[in-house]
Amino acid sequence: MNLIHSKTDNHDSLTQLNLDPRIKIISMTAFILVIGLTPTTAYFKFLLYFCAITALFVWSRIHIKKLMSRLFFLIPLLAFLGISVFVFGNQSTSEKINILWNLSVKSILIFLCIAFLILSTRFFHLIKGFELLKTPAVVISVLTFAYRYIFLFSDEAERMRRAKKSRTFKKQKLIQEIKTLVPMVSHLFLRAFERTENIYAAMLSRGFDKKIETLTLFKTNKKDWAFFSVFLIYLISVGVVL
Amino acid sequence: MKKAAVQVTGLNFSYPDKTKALENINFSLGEEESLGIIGPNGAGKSTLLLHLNGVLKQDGGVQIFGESIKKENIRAIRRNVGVVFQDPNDQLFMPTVFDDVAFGPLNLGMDRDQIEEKVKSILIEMGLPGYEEKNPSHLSLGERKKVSLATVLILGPQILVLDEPTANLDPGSKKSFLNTLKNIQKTKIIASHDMDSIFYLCSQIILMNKGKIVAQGKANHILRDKNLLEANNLELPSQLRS
Repeated sequence: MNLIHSKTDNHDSLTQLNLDPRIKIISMTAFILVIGLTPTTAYFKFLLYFCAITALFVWSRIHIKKLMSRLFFLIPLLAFLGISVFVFGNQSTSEKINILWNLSVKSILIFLCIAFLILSTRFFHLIKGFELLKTPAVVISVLTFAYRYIFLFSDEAERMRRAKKSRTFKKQKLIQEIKTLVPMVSHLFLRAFERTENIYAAMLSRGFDKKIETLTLFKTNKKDWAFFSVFLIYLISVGVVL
Repeated sequence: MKKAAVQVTGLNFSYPDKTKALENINFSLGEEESLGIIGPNGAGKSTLLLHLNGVLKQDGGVQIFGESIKKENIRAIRRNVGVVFQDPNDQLFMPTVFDDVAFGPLNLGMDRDQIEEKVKSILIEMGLPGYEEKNPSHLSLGERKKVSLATVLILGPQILVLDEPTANLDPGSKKSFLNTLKNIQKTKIIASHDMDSIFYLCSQIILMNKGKIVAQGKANHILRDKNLLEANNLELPSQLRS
């Protein structure tokens, strides 16, 4: 029974930008570096970066709602930055505004780059992309298993929550909620532990020998290289030449 | 009798906490015969299955086509003895159906150029064409069971070992899955307490209880013995109930 997958994993329903994930990862990494190294007062450059990332979002037809839901995660970060700069900083007000502008604009642009990468690429393509770019095997294994089992555990947690709810007859106080939550979490851990044993047995049965191997199914084509070249030229033009 | 595909002699096994799980297990199974291992919960059925491809170790008690399971031949044995676990969530641990089905062949060093083609054809054979990029979490239980079977069949095993293959399946999925299994011409060992499935699939039976073999023989004899079955918390197959 799939309980809440539709809420948690909606990547499959997205219109995908059909590029090799390695190209996207390298391009976005370069973009993030360039953004990070841009001087605070280069307002026009920031505007051009914003135009570039907006063009990418439009090209990949990412739904604005999806993007906005991710942007909400930025609010606490920006609030934290604002408080840190204005409450704990020793600089003058104009300097503080300058620092806050620098941090905010860069955080927003970097966040948009990451959002673009995630929203325009299927998660397992991203994992494969990172794998092919020689990310350590242990990181890839952790991501792979996390992606595979996060839905299963969220289902189990949801079932436990419903079971608890069906036997709760009046509104509980927060402290009671926490008291029931703790054994639920420990149960989940125990189940996860038990499952790892079974999964390992299944892996051994199919010849597992310390390394998870997958087939490379990506082939870079002219479209990938064209995108990469244009994007790189744009970055160099805006970031370095302008 | 045809050549012995599986020969188990004096097999004993205890878990690290000294719980005896198997005691003096002896049986022999010919090529392309199908054996049903029946028994109540905790009888040791699943533990016995894990010995058949060396996931659990013993001292020479199991022979596959005349060969004892050793470190030197473990890869060949695991290729030859395909185990399908009870819970497909244990069997399917990769982020996509394709990666899962390709996992065994890649680990066992099959030709990488042929694997993609083989994965596609086995999924078509299982009635799941176009499922390559799906996350196993998003499939129905019946579909996950079929993918689990595909992960094993792609290795071309001569012996197929299944643990509770029909557990939790709805009648339609169960019928479809049983037909798929019936049509596979291999040596089959099936552990279950679903008497109807065992009656449909198996010609030989081993009845286990508390880690020991209580009875073994032809399915037609054992599955008709109401007293024996009831004494071991089982019941007659529905077709044999009057």
